[in-house]
Amino acid sequence: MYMRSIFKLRQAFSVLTKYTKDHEWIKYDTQSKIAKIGITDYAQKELGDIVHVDFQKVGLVFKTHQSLGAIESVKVAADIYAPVAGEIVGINEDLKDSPNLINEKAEETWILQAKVQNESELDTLLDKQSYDKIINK
Amino acid sequence: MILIAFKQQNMKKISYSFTQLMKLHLHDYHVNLKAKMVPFAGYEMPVQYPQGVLKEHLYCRESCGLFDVSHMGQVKVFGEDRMKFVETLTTGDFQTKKSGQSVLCLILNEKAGIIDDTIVAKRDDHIHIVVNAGNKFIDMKQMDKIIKDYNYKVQYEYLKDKPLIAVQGPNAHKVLNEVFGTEYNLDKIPFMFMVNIKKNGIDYQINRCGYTGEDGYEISVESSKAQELCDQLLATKMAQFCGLGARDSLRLEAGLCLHGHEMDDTISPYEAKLMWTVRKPNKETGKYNESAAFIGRDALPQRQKDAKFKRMGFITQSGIARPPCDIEFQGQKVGSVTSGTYSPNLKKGLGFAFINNEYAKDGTQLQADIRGSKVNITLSPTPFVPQRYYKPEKK
Repeated sequence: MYMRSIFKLRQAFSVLTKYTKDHEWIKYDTQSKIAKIGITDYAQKELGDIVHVDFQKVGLVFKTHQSLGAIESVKVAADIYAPVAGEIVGINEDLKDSPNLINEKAEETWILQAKVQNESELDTLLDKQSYDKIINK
Repeated sequence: MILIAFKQQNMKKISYSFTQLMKLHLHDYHVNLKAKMVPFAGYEMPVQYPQGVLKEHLYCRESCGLFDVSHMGQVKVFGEDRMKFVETLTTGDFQTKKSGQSVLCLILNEKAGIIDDTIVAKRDDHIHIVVNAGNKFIDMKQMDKIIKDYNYKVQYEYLKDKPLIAVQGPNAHKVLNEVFGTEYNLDKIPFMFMVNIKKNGIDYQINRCGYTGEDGYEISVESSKAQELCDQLLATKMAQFCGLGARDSLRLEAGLCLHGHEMDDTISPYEAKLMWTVRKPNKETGKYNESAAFIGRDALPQRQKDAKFKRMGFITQSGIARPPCDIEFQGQKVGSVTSGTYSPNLKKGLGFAFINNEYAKDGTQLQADIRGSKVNITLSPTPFVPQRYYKPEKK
């Protein structure tokens, strides 16, 4: 029991999860300094069946709130906005063939990986509790 | 992520009633089915149900989709001058049509811009007109103007918000036979033909037509009986409700135009490639078989000369090109997208675009500027998915 709770604690500290009011999540690994970015389950539900993901290129240096690509459902297109400033270091290739993975597991399916320019910018984002308040309004 | 794109796209259609949305008679019925309701053409409309647009779309192609289209304008025209009236108002060819036959045609303005598209059915003692929800009040203004200017002896009745349920798909005829019984031979009535039936004291007006490319019907029924009809349709287990989302992807696959996208009051039937819906003179005599000429005819020859672009279907190599989206050839703008969607049946992005005449050939490769990245598109013949309207078996 003791071991397990320590393990949990470490995990919690090494990955910091934050949200934007525009329904993106960012999971920042404090050790590798790499963040994964995705959209929330609420956003996935609002969009409906996701049929295509448009990516920006790896290497793109972006500012906060810059468009990092777009998600297309049958009916709508929605931009993915950068929660913080940084640089794209990876895109989720699985989504090219199976964009519906986002519908299935939005909170676990990352869309892109990024190097975060300024760690402290993460403090300006919402924690889970504050984000849940926004969507349950 | 900004989740208002659908609403934004339809803003221009609901300018007259943005703050106070009208409710469908079956509003609560859709809410009970857990529909997601959005503003469209002044109404709160179901855009999708819990199964989602993709499944609704595919279910309609496989079995039968139900669509609440009560927001559309249903108008009955009575009076001795009704033929003159409808021949003035619309481009349809009615003289040779039998009672019951329906015609897809256009309402043009003096400049031959398309005010609306409409389905007009000739009946024994009246003419039945169905117009788009977003234009119905504009259409009725045009009707009032014609009655005044031409002094026609007609009266029209606007069947305000009368429930209209579209039943669409390869099983639509089975669904109707199960609900109404085989004695009405609803599976045998021709495509684009309207009948009235009475069952258990309830009047139904049924037109074999639709907006999905599938065989199907549109059933008009009095408000108090609409819910019962929907229950009966669902009870066949061959039909499910589909929202506006599926309606749009279905009509695009079937190569059908939508007013406000492929048509508007500045676009001519030449540009929209809808001249096939416009009344023509007899090839030998050069004379029209009509009691009155339609408004806009005089402007057509000039519009033909002036037409610099035309409506073309396109398929994208990846992604979806939705309006606003420019179409380019070697970096130069040669057109713009009017409608775009993902095709659940073809699993590709497709749509319609207005393309400058010199590039408007099927098979031409162009680029769509989708949020700054250039995506290859191929101009393609429509319908993208073959239409499967009912054709009687010839013996």
